[in-house]
Amino acid sequence: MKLRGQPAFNESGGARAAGDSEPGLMPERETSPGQSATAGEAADSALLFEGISKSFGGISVLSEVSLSVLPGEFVSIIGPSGCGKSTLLNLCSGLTTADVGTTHFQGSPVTRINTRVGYVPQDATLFPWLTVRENVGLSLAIKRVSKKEREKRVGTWISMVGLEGFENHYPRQLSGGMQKRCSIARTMIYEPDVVLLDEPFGPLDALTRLALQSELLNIWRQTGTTFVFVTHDLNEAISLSTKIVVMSRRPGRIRAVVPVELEEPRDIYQITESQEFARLHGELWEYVRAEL
Amino acid sequence: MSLEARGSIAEIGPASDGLVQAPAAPSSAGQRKPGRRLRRSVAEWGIRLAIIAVALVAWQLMSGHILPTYAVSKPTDVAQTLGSTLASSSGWADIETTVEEFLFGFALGVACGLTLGIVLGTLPATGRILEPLIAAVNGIPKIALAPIFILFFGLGIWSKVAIAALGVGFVMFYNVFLGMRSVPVPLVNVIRMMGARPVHVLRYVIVPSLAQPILAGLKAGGPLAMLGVIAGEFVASFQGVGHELQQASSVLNASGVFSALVILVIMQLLINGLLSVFDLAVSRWLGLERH
Repeated sequence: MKLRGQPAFNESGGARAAGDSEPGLMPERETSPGQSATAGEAADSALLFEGISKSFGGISVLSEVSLSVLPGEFVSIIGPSGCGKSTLLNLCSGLTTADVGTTHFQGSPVTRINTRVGYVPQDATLFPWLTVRENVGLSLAIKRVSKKEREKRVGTWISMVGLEGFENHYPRQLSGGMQKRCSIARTMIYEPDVVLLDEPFGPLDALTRLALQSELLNIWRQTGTTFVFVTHDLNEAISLSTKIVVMSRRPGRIRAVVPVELEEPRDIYQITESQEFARLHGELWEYVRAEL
Repeated sequence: MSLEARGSIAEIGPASDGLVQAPAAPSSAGQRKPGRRLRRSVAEWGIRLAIIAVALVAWQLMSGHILPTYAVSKPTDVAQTLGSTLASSSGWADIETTVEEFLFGFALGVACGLTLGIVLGTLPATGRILEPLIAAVNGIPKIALAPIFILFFGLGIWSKVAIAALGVGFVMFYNVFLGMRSVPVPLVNVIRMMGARPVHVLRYVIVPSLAQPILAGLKAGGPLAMLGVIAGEFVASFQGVGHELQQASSVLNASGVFSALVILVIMQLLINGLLSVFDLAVSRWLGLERH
């Protein structure tokens, strides 16, 4: 597929969704810029934010944010602290609601807790009184999946994240990286269509981070899940994503939406050396620096 | 969505964080030095028994010479009285009565405190309204309430049960009520996003995170319940170890007093021991053991 490398950069602060010439994985659309999202557009997107504004205790965190995420994309949201990145995830998950605007998930508005997305929080947030196996299988136990099926899937995912041999350990017996793997396995196991990740690799050391990034990419490639990934690390964003959304300082607006085309399949350990990576880094850094 | 099996992580290898070789594995560490731990424990107990023996000998020698016998008695006399108490059926009847009062009072107090704590912890408005009132009632010294309970429940076991339950109940209530406040919200969010219903939240988040406050409440409440029972027996009763103690002291029967005290101390130690074992078992089961 031929992709153009133009950022969709809108002066007024909103990244247009289907309307104008936003390149990327989408086919060209007939709709003209300025048109608000139609039902068809909402249905095609995995996630759609329309004119979202949100304040917490008088402080405006998000201001007129419109964004669409298509199925299968790996979208990173970067921006300075406090610009509402995590709030966007919470809007999608239903843990909070916007003051103005609507959030659509697979075509329908999000009104309560959204049980069809996966959420990987910043801290592993494992259940301290459950073993790795029980933590990973928790969502299946709640959905009353049969024990045999549950054990099979738990086994698969524990292998996928490389935690064999630690099935019966408790979280406090695991290192930070292992807890994070467990957290990812626990989210992926019920095969959500969209997974939200809130700076999941933040508290980890650099080497562990690279290893987990690589694993995450593998999982993405194999499952075709849509990932929405919040990070403050530009390198991480470029390495992992197909599309990067740059947010402004608080109150958060969308500064830019930049598609990322790098040679596939990507190798995390070498990708930073490519020319295209450097070019993207330079381009994005301009946007990011302006918001610091 | 089809998932491929292992292959994907071949290049990474299992958990190659490099940080953890074999994790804590407390069992294997414990197996390496049971001998050392056992020997240390035996030595410590040896010292404790030695201290007790020295104290007993000192007591025996001082009694009659430095200390008046009618007040402090002698270990030998106390042992004799203790022996005859344990040999008699009335002695055992007293012990049974006290134990019965304790068990009922403890169970009642724990049940009420637990329920009230969870209910008030779940309904914030109700909790806010009622908590100061509960604090006010808690402020009344139980010993002052004892005569009122005697009037309500008579001289039988139920007045003592009530006093014991009151003592334990408040401790339990506060532990649970405040424990509800520190239920970890991120876990609640995570599990709700998995589609959990309230019963799941209760089972997987609330009850386990209340385990520690509840265990603490039990350990504090045990001795407190016993105190309540004895205090009640002092005020008015016709049977029980506390009753015997009070009777003995009123006729200046020093050996009788000490004999009853010994029985009480043993009972307290047993209660404490059982609660500690329970504590450890639950902590292990929940993966929360502290070492």
